[in-house]
Amino acid sequence: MAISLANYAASGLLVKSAYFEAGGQGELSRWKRPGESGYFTVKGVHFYPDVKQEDIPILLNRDYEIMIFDFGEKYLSFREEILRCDRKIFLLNLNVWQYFAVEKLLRELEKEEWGKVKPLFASILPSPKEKNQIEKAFQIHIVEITGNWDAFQISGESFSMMNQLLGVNAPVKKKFCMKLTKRKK
Amino acid sequence: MVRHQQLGEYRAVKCISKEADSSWQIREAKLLNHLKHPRIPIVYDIEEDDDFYYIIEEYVEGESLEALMLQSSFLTQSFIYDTIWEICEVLSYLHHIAPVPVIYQDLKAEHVIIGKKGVKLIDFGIASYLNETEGRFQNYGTPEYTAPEKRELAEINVGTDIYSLGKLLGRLVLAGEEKSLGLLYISQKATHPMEKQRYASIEEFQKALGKAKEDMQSEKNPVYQKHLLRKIIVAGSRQGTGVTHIAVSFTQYLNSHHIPAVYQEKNPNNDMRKTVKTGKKFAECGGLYRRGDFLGLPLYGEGVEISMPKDRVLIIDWGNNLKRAGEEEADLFLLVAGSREWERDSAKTSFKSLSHEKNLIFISNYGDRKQARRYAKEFCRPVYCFPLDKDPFTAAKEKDRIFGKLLQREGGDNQRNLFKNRWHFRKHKRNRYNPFGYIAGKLRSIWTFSKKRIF
Repeated sequence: MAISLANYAASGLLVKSAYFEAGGQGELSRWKRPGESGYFTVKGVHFYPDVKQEDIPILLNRDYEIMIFDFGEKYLSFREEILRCDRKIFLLNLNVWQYFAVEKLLRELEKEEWGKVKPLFASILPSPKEKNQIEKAFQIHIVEITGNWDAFQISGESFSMMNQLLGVNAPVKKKFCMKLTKRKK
Repeated sequence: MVRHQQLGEYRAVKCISKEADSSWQIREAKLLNHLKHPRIPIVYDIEEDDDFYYIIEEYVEGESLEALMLQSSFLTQSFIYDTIWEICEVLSYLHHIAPVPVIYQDLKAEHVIIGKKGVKLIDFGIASYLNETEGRFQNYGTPEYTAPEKRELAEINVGTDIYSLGKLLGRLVLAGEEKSLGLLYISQKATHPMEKQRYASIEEFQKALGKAKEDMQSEKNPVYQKHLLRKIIVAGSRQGTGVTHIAVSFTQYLNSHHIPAVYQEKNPNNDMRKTVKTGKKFAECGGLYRRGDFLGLPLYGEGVEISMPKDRVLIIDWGNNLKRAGEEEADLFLLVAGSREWERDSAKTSFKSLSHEKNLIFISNYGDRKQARRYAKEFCRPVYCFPLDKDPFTAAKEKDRIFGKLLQREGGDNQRNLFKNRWHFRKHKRNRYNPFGYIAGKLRSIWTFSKKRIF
């Protein structure tokens, strides 16, 4: 999801963007070795593997327009950094066997004072019953996202969802018929 | 079907009981053994034991034409043409075997196998040498495909196969979705009841087929014509010559005339994205932006995949990047140049650099007709003079006239023509019986044509 967002920012919005693997277990460095500057580039996105807390202030000074931090499951370890972010997206797994983890996270988040920037909760293809249950219990709104996309090949259909998640002011999505000839009578 | 143990290849084996009448099958195998053509199955061997004969033949993989005829979408004009042409090649080979030609006699859709390597003709059961039966033969074969002289008089010759081929062609054309009149005419001539009225030889048939193919691909045929223009490149001699304006106007024009077109931005200036961000009149769907009749695709990075409408004309805006634009292949290349004094030098240099382009069209912007005429004289090419225009997203009479002329002369206008008469009638409905309007129109057309090369 984080890689998709970074990829959309670089290729869809054409802005300089970077992805920081903060809460991972070194998956990125296993995929590709970073250069001397600490990152590698794929399709215009700068990927920084194994970012530590003390590196973040230095990285923030690099001239990126959109920086995607992937904190993984380590909410508590990066709490301060998360609170400083302009956009906070929490991806919830609403499967029955993950329910306790969702509940635990949401209870932690309830205690925080978010100020003006409220967190955004999202879930990939949630079942309506469980989604409603959690929304009612924690007084939150969960954004439904479709899970069928390639992280490195963003389709036009998922643009509006990406815009929503990144909070980009995009033109209003309107449904229109591709067949222009049918429109005319 | 059997598999060769050492070579691993498949072969077809016919087991023929010695008790039954097996003479004709042995005869077929012997005949096939003499025939060497890539579209005729090979006979490898004939073996026998106490009870059976075994004819080992090439295993022909594929679908019969009869089965394919059930799916009309397969039967395109080019498929029919290619299939019949390949059958013609086989028949031509058979009819020219020296010293005595072979007549196939049983040509029908079931006996034509379409495989990966093309057409194969199978079942030579009643094929025979012309002198074998002294011009007479038992009345075998499928009645539908049998020539009347063979059916009634039991006479065979080269025309027998031509008749069957014509029948097969007719059936294929009628079963397909696109009905080619040219192919139907050939079929009718080949199946004429009078033998003398048919094609004298298979070569004559092939010649007619080749001509029909040429006609099919010519501008007269709408099936091919609609594919004339699919990709149009617009590039400018320098920055600020109005490339984006013309590309957007052209897209708007095509869409408003019922030709689906998409504007694609490859201009590094990123003008469209800026316009989309600031303007409120755009609607977005699947990465494409629409405003009125305009449909556009802004510049995206390599990590994005946008699905485009089918059968659309793609208008690519390359800005002033002539080098990259020249590398890309297109059906039409529109080179836009300004008509002001300080823009003339760049117009000349860019024209020289692209003069090798076959489909190059020169457009002089900002409505200076005198300068456009000078360009036309200098470059010896038709030059279109684009008028001064305020809004590329809305239609204007002058713009429409330029694009209309351009399409008419450069091709791809057939779709527009479908609607042309209706549109024309509606627009000039009141002037229809006005003699003054008629004379003024005539004078205008004379005046327009007198200005050679300037449209």
